[in-house]
Amino acid sequence: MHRIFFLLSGYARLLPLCLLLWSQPSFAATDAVIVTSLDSSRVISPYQAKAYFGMRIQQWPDGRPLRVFVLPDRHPLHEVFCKTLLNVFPHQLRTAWDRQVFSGTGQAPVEVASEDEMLVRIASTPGAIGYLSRQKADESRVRKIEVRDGNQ
Amino acid sequence: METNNFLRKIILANMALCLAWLPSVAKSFDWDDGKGQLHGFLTQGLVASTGNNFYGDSRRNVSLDFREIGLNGSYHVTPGIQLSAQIISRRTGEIDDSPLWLDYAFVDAVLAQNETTKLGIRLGRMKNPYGLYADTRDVAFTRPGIIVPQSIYFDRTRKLSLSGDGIHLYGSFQAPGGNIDAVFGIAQLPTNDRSGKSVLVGSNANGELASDRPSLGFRILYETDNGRWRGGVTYLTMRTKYQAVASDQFPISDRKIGLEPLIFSLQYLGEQWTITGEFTQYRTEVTQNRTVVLHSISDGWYLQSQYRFKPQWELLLRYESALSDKNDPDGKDFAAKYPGQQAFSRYSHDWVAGLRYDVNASFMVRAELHHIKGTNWLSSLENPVPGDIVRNWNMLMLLGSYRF
Repeated sequence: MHRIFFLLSGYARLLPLCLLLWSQPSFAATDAVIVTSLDSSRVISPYQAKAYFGMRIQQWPDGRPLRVFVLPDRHPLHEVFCKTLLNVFPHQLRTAWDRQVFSGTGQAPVEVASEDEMLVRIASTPGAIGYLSRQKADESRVRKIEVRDGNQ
Repeated sequence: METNNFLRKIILANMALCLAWLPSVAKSFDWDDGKGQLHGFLTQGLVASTGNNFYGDSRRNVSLDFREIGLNGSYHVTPGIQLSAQIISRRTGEIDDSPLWLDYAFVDAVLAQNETTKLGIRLGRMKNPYGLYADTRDVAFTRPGIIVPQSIYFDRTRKLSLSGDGIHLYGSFQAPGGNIDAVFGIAQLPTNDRSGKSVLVGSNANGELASDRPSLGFRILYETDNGRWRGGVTYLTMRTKYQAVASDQFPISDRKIGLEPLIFSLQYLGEQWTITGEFTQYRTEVTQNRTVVLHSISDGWYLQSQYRFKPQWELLLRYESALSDKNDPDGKDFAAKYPGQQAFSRYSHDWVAGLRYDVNASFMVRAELHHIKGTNWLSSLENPVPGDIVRNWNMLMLLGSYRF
């Protein structure tokens, strides 16, 4: 009985992934914002944003662990995020992660299948950082981060 | 030999099973919000050539002796301490036959970190920081083609510069307009490699290569803020000595071989275009009883363009050139000095055209054509009869690779 339930719940977890494989996201994303769990800072510099999402730095300035979440490389919002907020191309990020993953010098960010999953993971993970389209960034659950130079 | 083959098959079958099973669980295998991660790759290539053999018996047959399997794990013990290890099983004809090889296994500790600077230390077996591609040269997805540019990343001596046991100090810091990544290392490099030995002391030598003293090296890379430009310099010293045995045809004692590559790298990364150039100059010095018996400076460079004309398609065009002795570019002096040796064994000029198609994020196929003049990166282990080797030769390579 327990075993059957475990298997079912296991497959249920794969459902979002299956859905993604079946259907390409149909909306055209126009605007992305970086979001974090509610316990994190409100402003980061462009250099920090790139170091965090490039997986070069693994902790917040106060020492707490940083957990990075991203959408798949070809997700429209991922492309918007890379180009507008990091000023890089998705293939550049992928190259940087691969270089670190396959030489042991770093890790890859956690890939989530959809914006809904992104919202859930960011809201429930201390020290998390990711991005959402502006309309999905529910400020009762996640905090929007501004990318700009200057003091925090 | 039989047992070895049997063992290899079992290991390969098991690794393939693991690789096939893991992605069915999740696309990337991680736990603890990404604190622990498992990644891997499985590559099979195919080589058909005219004139000479490369990666197996490719001249008379189509060689399938081109296989790369790897599995790595990493765990972030604390935000500042990471453990990483990778095992690789690799077979590329006679050049590399490693049923199971510990590619790296080390602990990485961050010593100091703030918003713009990170300093750390790595202890254990690390990949040598070497040019733009050596760190992940065995991972087909990260290579610029089916094979890495041979003018810089020689396959036949790859083991000697692949990874080493020792200590790395590294830093990543903000610099005007970008970021600098620097690594400085002292490591004991592996020497028990048949292919490397055949290049350095000849395939008839029965003795062993041994480490002379630890190798020193560094790499400094600068990248602009928008990631459009990357460039830097690598320097490595490799020191080995040959321990002759009585059965050697010409017993040579106290022979030391030093290689000192210096590499300059520059890369432009655009949305559709990536243009890369690397240039190396390396000094080879062979001493016997502390007398220099050979001293040469070798040259190698390549210029490469990758054009992503559609999201899943990439076109590759590369020209590369390697000279064993830059003062004897056509090898004529060499041929005159050593009768029976071919002048064209001292250089290679290679035109490469390739096509890559990414079926999805974890599966990729590639095709590549090589038109080569010269044989200075050819392995004598795969081409044992000197009279059979020809100057002009071509290769068609196909490759499929899976990763997670």
